[in-house]
Amino acid sequence: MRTRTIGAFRPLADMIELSFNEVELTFRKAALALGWQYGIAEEIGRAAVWLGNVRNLNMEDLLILTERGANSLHFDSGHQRMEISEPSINACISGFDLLAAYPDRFFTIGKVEKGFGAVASLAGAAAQSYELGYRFQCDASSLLIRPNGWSGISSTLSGLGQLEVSVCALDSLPVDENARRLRIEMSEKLWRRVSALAAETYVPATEASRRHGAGAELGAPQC
Amino acid sequence: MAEIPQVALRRPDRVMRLDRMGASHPTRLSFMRQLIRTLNSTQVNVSRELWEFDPRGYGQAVYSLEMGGFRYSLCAFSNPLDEKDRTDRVIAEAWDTTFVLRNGIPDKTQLERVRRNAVRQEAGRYGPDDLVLSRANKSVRMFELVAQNLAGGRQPDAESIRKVGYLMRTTAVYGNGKFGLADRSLYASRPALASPFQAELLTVWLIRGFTHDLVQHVAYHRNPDDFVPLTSRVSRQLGIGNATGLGMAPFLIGHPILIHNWVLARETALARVLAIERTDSGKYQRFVELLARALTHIQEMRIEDECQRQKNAQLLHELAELESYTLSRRTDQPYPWRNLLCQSGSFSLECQELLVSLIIEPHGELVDELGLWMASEANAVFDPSMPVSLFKRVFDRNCGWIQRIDFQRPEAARLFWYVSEEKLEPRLGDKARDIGSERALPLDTAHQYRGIGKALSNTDQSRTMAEFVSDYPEFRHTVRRLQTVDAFPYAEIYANLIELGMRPIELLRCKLAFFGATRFDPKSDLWTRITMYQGAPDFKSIVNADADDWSFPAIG
Repeated sequence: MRTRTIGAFRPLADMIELSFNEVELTFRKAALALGWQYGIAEEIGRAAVWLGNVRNLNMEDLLILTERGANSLHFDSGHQRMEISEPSINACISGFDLLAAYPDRFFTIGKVEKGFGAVASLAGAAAQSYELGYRFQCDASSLLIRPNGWSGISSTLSGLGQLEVSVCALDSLPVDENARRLRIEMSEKLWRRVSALAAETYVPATEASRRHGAGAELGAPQC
Repeated sequence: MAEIPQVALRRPDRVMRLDRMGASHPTRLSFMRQLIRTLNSTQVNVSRELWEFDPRGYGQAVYSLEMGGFRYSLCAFSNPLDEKDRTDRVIAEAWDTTFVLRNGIPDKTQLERVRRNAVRQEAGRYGPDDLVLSRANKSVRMFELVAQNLAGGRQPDAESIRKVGYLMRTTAVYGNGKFGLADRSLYASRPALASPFQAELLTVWLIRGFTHDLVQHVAYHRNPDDFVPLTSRVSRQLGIGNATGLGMAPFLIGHPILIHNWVLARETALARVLAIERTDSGKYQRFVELLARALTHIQEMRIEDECQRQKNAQLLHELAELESYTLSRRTDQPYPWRNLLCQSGSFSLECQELLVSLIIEPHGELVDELGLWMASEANAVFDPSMPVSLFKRVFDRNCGWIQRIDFQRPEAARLFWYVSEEKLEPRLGDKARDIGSERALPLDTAHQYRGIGKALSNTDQSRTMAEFVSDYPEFRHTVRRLQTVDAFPYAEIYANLIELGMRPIELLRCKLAFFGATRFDPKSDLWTRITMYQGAPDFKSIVNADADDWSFPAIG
């Protein structure tokens, strides 16, 4: 395996260390490139940072889910529960919005085993925004997510087929003192994929844009 | 603690208009001023840990200082640069000098790693102990002139310093996680770095000191027998130049809470001073001295741009009138500062905003604490539980100003902001001429608000915003912004930022004034040259009692 040494810090083989800001902005731009609206792209960027702070989940999950695109969704506030047949970015974000608006309700997500990391990260990002904790329940096991990390009542969720997601009180959640990291580690391969997508949001440079778009020409300003 | 009296704050829809923002002047709350006060109060000692330069001034240096219990180093690298490669544009590939501000003092291995990356700037990778990345190019004419003079036993002449008040210009200063640098969150809790941009501005202040050392080094090696060092007076007159482009403009729209905090602090400072019923003669006299100094400062500006020259000429005329008025007034008059501000009501915006800075300046004991308010680590937050009916009231309360915009005119949506693939430089495009409008940045806030207004009129008001954004995901960002603006009223910029004729330079100037930059010298509507730290204390005089007295510096 290829190892890259950079001065005093040694990332794992084929891994790159990134700042939170880089991760957030690059995932946001990647989401934009994939056609997501700006507000959704912002959530994806925040989710990426949350995911990067949590050691146990695969960051690639988030990109896969982002690439998958939107589900059509019917949001009926008259019902106690919302059902999401399989994870999608917009459906899950709507689900977490729903819980913030109606904390006594819950929603279910099917087929989560293929995207749990991404769903958890969206929950983590939402938890930071709304200062809520979330409980993921699957059969007899449950997992709790709070804004500064996650704390598992059981370290694994069995039967990831369908999850029920609800709000839980923050003071019932143990604090993970070590949740916050200094850097985010990601595989270089994933970073290249995300960065390549992000680059699609940049406009190709032309001579005209150099001259007119950034003030390279000494042009008289309008009074 | 007793509450400090203040008058009503100036209204956001008056203060946050582009024309007034574009007339901003630095105040004592500007971030450079805050940094210098911090350095002075801690009696900072800047040590030169390493100095390895050839006689022509190529090599490397390390400066370190301790601030707030932490040690920081500026690593500086100077390399030969062909004249044809020297450009202030962010798309440059080589520079006269490159810099990194780090935690601690680097050992040899660390310094070499920093050097290898610093000379590549954006193409390098940095780590959690690397806080700021920067580069600077010489003002070749000025650097050479000063070197020649010092080598010949003379100080540079005042007129040359008036024309170009710096030896080098920074062309970018990066922080907060870019290219792997430390995220701001890693050091924002350090008291000395808590205020906005303190790490970046510390870097620039250290770079300025480095430029003084470098020019003296070059001059000495040319003629050791006759060489004289810079006097303290001249050293303070030499700041750091900067060429500022469009990158700052998206920042103002993208950080609404932060901008609100900056403006709120300044407006609160003004409101506190205006509430003073009786002032002592010492403060009034100080104001009179500062007014005279500001007059000289403006007179000394050598501006090429005709538009700014006209504005400065009018400003000088109005300042002279204000000076006469001030000298004719008794110092024991009631509400003297309020009367002064009223007197300027019919004057240009440049004069009004300059007067705001001058009025605040003598009152440090009353306003300096407001600097602590100016930071914000908070993000704009979306409240999905808000009923649509309540959000409609938020919309009506905050978006009335868009009614003045004629959205039917093609010019109302002619421009677009975007990021160029060329060094990720922010640019402003014209849809009639440029490609890429489909990748526009969401800075068209007025148009977004218009869209939301239409959607709201078709929405069941009993629902929540969670349901609204589920139906209209394209408005999620704008809903978040509007909910934020409602809570932070100085967050909004009351302008159609994609209208043909909009002048981005006004946004740049506002942010630069909060930084503390002076000598605005616009080169077009899209970029400006400025000077930073002119008049500020240098490495030796930072411990002096007068370290904070450098607003509106005059060369004399």
